[in-house]
Amino acid sequence: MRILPTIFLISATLIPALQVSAQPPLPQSPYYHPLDQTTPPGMAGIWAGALGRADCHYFQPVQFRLPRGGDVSVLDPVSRTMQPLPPGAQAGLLVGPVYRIRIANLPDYPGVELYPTLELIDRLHPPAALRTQFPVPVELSEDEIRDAVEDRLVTKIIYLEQPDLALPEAEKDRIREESIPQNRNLMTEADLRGRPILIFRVGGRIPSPQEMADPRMPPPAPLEIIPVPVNPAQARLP
Amino acid sequence: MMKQSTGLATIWLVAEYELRPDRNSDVSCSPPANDEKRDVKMKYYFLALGTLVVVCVGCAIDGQQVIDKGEYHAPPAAMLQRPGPMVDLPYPAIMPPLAPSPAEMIPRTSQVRFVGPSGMDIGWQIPTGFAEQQMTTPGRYNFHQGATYRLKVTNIPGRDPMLVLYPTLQVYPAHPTTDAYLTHNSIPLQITDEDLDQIETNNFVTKVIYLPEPKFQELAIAGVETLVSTRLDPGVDPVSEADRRGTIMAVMRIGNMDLEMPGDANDMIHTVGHVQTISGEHGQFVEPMPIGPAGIDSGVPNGMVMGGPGGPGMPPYNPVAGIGGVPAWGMPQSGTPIGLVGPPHLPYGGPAGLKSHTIYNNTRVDIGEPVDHFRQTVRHEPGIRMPHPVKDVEYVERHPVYGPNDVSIPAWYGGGQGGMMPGGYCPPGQMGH
Repeated sequence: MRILPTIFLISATLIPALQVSAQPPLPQSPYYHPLDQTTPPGMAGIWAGALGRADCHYFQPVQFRLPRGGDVSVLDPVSRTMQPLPPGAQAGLLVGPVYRIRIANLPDYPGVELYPTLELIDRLHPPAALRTQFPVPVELSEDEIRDAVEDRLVTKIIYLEQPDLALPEAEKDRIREESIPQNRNLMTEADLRGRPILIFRVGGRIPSPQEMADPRMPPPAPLEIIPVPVNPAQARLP
Repeated sequence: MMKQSTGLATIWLVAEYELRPDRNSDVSCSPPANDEKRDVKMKYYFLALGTLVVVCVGCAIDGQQVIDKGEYHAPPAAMLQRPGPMVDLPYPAIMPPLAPSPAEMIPRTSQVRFVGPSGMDIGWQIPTGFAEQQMTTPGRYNFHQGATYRLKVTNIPGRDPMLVLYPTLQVYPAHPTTDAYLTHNSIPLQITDEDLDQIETNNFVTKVIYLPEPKFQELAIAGVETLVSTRLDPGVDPVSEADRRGTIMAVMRIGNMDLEMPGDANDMIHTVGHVQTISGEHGQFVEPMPIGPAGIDSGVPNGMVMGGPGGPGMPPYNPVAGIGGVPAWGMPQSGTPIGLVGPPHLPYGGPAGLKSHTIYNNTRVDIGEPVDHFRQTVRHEPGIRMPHPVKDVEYVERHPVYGPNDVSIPAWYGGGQGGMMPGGYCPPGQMGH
């Protein structure tokens, strides 16, 4: 049972049209959003920190899901080393900083490595003992991986859906996605549908070793690796 | 819409109020002359009324200043990144920096991906000449932003092996609209067969890679586009055209000029005797050397020196007649037996016959007076309007009120008989009990 439904809102997708049409038409946002999908990485996180959303004592679990497997690592901004994430493991990230991810060993793309960035702009508020039970899922489809390999920028905003606007359908194996044209503000669209949680960007650029060692990108921020629980009952309420 | 209705109602009320005295006079059976006057007066009333209605409704539809549409327009993202001059750093600073600027997190390099033709060798200019074969297409390299590089392209597949090109590559600085793209993507650069044909036929090819403006893109995927000068209409500047369509990330200019032609060392780059050949074929790799800036730092041009004297024995540069040793316009260079410049029309060795030499300059000159006060008016459309700061907050907190036996104590609280369970919830105000 998922009590925290999340929905992907992505800018590069091949989503079936019926899913989009099933969503009731949303009203035009009456608010001005200075942030959008072209905002420089890190700016939304800084603003979230300035607005008091950042909590330096809370690591928001994030789980990565690849369509056909692969290796996921998170660059530890402090030690500047890649921390591998075993399948099913979660990364505990703070709100505000930009984290660099590495996706490698993709079955359909041998030798290809992707270096997306992830920027948390808000967090979930589950009961403390259920923190790892409801991570923010970051899913990549095969089409998105192909777009990134072809050096196109895919920007995804994951938001917590608004209950009165949620689609009254059971969630399937993948969370629902929508494709938004470039001429619309992705942040506005996500804000219309719920509460934006994180921004995920992936493209084809391969950072140089000097770039990865540069403490300015990303700036030092703590990272928590949450291993796969041996006994799922450990994570439940006492 | 509410304000429109209110405005019209007010106008009608005013009209009714002004018409009442005439209506009363009609009842009192005034003479016909008064009727004519009243009709004329009525016409004026209705004319004024119609004018008012048209003006007010027109302003309500078109003008944002009359009807508040509730729209807010913040400054562009580039301005919003910083609190503004005299507020943030550099000093005087009255606001501490919240966090490192996003610009500091963004790599200062742009990754250029040389797509093709496949198998082509690419080198670049270094301080001692050219480093050859530093990479082979397809390949990518991180160039520092805001710089211009001179490349050396050799071994182009399907072309004359002696064909060597020396294109320049301008890597533009990152812009707030291109930061996200340049952080995650590379700039694709491809020299096509059509480009090579144009170059070999002595044409100049300019390729501009830019990120289109998002508001003009209907697709969901952010991709770059390339403008090639040979595909544009004659006279169209590809750089200006790309700048109009989006944000430029790189400009490549290619011609067929040979920069390493033997026998003309003075004009070539190899002007020193200790030239060391750098070749990637032998495992030697050197970072490219910027040969100039790229991009636009400011829209205001710097002061330009129109001319000046050269060094001793050297001609003046940018010569201006009459300035810096340049002879005045119209001065003949006649000689004298002693080697100095003589008077006009003095025949060498003969008697002077010229009595008068008059020049009338009838050129119409209108270059304006020198500017003593310069005023520049700038305007940002739409204007900047932000929600006003909150100055009144009313906070009401309501708590449920329970009577006796309305509240049950949770089981995990230990039944209220002697404290909490280890690790359990601690109600506010009971810490330390």
